[in-house]
Amino acid sequence: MILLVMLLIPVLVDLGFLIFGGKQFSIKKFLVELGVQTAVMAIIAYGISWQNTSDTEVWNGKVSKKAREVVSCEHSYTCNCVTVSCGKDCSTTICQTCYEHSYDVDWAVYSSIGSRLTIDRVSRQGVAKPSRWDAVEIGESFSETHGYTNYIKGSPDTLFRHQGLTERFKDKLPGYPRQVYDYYKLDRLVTVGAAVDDPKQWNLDLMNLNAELGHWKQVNAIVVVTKNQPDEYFYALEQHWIGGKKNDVVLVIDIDDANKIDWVNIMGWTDNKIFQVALRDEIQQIGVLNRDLIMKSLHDNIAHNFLRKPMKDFEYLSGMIKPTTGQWIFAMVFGLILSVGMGIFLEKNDIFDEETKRRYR
Amino acid sequence: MNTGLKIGLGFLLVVALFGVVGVSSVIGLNNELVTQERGLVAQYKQNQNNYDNYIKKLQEAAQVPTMYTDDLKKVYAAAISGRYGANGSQATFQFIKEHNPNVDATVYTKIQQIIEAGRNSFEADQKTLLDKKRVYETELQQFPGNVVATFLGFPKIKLADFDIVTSTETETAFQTKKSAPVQLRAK
Repeated sequence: MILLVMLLIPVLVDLGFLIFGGKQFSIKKFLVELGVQTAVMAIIAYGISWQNTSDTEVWNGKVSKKAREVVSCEHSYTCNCVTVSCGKDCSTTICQTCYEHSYDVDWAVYSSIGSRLTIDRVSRQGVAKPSRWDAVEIGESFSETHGYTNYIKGSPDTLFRHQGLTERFKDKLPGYPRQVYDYYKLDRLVTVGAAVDDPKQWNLDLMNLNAELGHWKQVNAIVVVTKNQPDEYFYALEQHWIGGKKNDVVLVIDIDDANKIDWVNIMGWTDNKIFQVALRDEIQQIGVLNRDLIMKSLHDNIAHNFLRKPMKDFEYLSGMIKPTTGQWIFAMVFGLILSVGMGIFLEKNDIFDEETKRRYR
Repeated sequence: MNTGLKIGLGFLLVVALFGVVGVSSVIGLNNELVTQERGLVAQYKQNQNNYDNYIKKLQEAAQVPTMYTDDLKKVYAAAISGRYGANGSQATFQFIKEHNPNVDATVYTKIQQIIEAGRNSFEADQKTLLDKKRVYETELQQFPGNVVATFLGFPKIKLADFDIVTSTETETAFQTKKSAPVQLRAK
């Protein structure tokens, strides 16, 4: 249906050219214009749908292997050029493709989630071993971003999204932690006005926890620590992060000035609600921001109770994913420009030699 | 080619194009509406399944004799629908205490978690049912889908049969537009 509406303007313009374009605008040209526009508008409709639902989650695992791999040389250049004759008063240059080295070396790192990446070479050919590759340890945490279709993101009216809560906390809502650094590392401790002791260790613990449970439980655990925020802050963050990604467990802890835990809540799409209740009660019982105890509780509860909800459960929302007003305007204006532009071009250019044939008839 | 024939052919091509895209859209809409109707029915059954599942979990944790299952169901229904207000789970505790006096005090924490998780889970399932119904009704009413849907004979199920479970207190509050304040302590 969306495609039909998007095609309305281009088709009307095409008909206009056909009716008023005279002999220069043949039925053949009309067919070409119609075909091209249908294809382009179909791509735009698909692109809009993809843009509205595409999202990124973080996959976690461990470094499973590292290897020095000999690969074909990537550094080519043209060589051995010779000028040859191609007839009377004609010559052309023919070259070969040569390579700087007989081989190159990749310093590869493999993960338990099935991915492979290479450490940057320190020399052009890569023969010298990079110190970063040397520092890679088998079993250390490995994270990478991965695209998926998020039906909730594409459906602003679904009951699973909060509305109108973010305004009150607009300066206190942090960005989602998705920045992978140093090839496969990711920090997942997010603080909002709270000074946490040894944040580096918190992040390291979270990396290790995700390395151990990430692949097995399909989880990405994040900790958010806020200070002196009301309970509603959690729902504002939930709205801001659209409920988190499909494999997220976001533990949100609010503390007071004395680092005592004020409230706890857990964001995540799990179907096993006992996970959220039990984890919340346990963290609340700890009483203060104790890293070791919190990490242990988070680990144990994910291991025993977390069950990732598949995005397929929200597939029923796919019918509601429609272009926004801005996207409709873009598609309509683009369709108009394309049809008018193509119409003028086809009218002025005799691409099928029809005019020439007519003249010599 | 004469101009009249050319224009006629052009219109015919446009009708053909819209026909192909239109028929594909109608088939797509029909299949989508069928999927949504089946989804609604399945979700309704899932809500019943969820309700039953948590009753079993609660019974298992509290070790209440099987003969009292029906009574436990009634008390649990009241607890998860918030009929007794914020302290609704107290009624369930009372019931369990009466029917199994040997329950360890520490088990109460677990029971409380089961009741709260049951309530949250049931609420999530009810929300899904409402959301699926919303999506289906929107599809049925939006132009031009509504014309096609009526032509194809949708809805083929009685939508009123797929309402969520609420308590009498909630219905009364919404009918009278008045709600009593929550009593944290019994009078």
